Amino acid sequence: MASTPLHFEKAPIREAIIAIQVHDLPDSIVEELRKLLQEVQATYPRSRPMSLGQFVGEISPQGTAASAHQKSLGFQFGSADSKQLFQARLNGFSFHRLAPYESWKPFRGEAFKLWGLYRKFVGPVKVVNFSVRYVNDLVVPAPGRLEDYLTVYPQLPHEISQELRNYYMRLDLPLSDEGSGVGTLAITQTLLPSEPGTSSILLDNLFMYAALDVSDDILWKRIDAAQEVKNRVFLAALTPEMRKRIS
Amino acid sequence: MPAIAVSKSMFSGPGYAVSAEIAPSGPSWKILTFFQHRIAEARSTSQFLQIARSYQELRSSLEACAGLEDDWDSYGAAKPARHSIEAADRLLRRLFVELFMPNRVIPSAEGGIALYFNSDNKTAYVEFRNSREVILAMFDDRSDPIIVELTENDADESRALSLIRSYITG
Repeated sequence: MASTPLHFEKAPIREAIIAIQVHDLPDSIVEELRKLLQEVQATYPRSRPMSLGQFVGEISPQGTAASAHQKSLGFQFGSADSKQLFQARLNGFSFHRLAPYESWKPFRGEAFKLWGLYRKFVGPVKVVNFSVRYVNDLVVPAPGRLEDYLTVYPQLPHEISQELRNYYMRLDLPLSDEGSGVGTLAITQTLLPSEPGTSSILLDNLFMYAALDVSDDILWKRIDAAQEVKNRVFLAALTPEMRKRIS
Repeated sequence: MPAIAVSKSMFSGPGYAVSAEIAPSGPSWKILTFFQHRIAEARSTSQFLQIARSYQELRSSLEACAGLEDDWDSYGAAKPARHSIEAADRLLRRLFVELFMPNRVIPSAEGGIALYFNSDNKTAYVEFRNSREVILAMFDDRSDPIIVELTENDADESRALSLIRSYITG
């Protein structure tokens, strides 16, 4: 069932990400990923290589040993204005849209198109999991009460100070919805740097789902279904006052 | 009230268990581990959070500049004036809103604060001098430097931002 698109005039989304992890591809595929640059040059002219560095140190009664290892992981491609980028890696793919975020349809459409290109260059892949992530920055007046804006927040007993200089809260919750499947929702909140007289609350919702060896068709149906879950969770986390502030 | 979810096999009697204190086995633990590893990887990939961290580091650099004394470079440079710090702070905040961050914030030997932007072979900086002059410079290894003189007002701030962005990302 198609849901009504969620739209706020002053949407607090600072970044939206669709990521798909795959079983590690052979190192030789990096050369195939390099060819993507030609294909996307017009819309993603900025590219940089990504590498994985590993440093291992060992201290034992017999002595010390250290080794370093670095390998190419893939490439990150960015639009000229740096608002849109994607990563094509040996272990997966991700598409990032930074603010201003328009809506799910173009965001999902671009991610789908780029995933198709990635698949074209790397060949067969085995999907491990996918995630849909929305990083929100809720700007509220300060001083103020969290409960006026959020329905999910840390509760403190009255015997201790109610004044938060900052906080970091992360909740890992099970997800099991028809359509998107079994997964985990990681909600992270903390206070970000803010303008005087305001507080910026980070509301980082990461919806991650297992998707072992699923086909592309099923994968994207499940990603679409995850979008409805993320809308539901986002709305539920805001008070009517907060919804009004971003409308 | 939120409840802590644990797998049924771990649950024994009323109350709740904190899963970190238990070393459970079986499929639910495997599922948990599967997601924990991948969430840790995914969390490090947000571009916005990297920008937010960079912003915090640059604010710290600016605070350090604000604490300098005269002759901080031992060559007689004046400490950055309060209005130079405030102008740089204003621009930094605006850059954070626009998700376009400089690479460095440093004190100027001319007296003031400079914000540096680097991309490939291009460099741009905007310098808020104690004299209230604002100098924008853009240069690379292929062409002559472009120097623009501005003031500390909002219109010039917007112009500086627009010029730097198009130069660095162009």
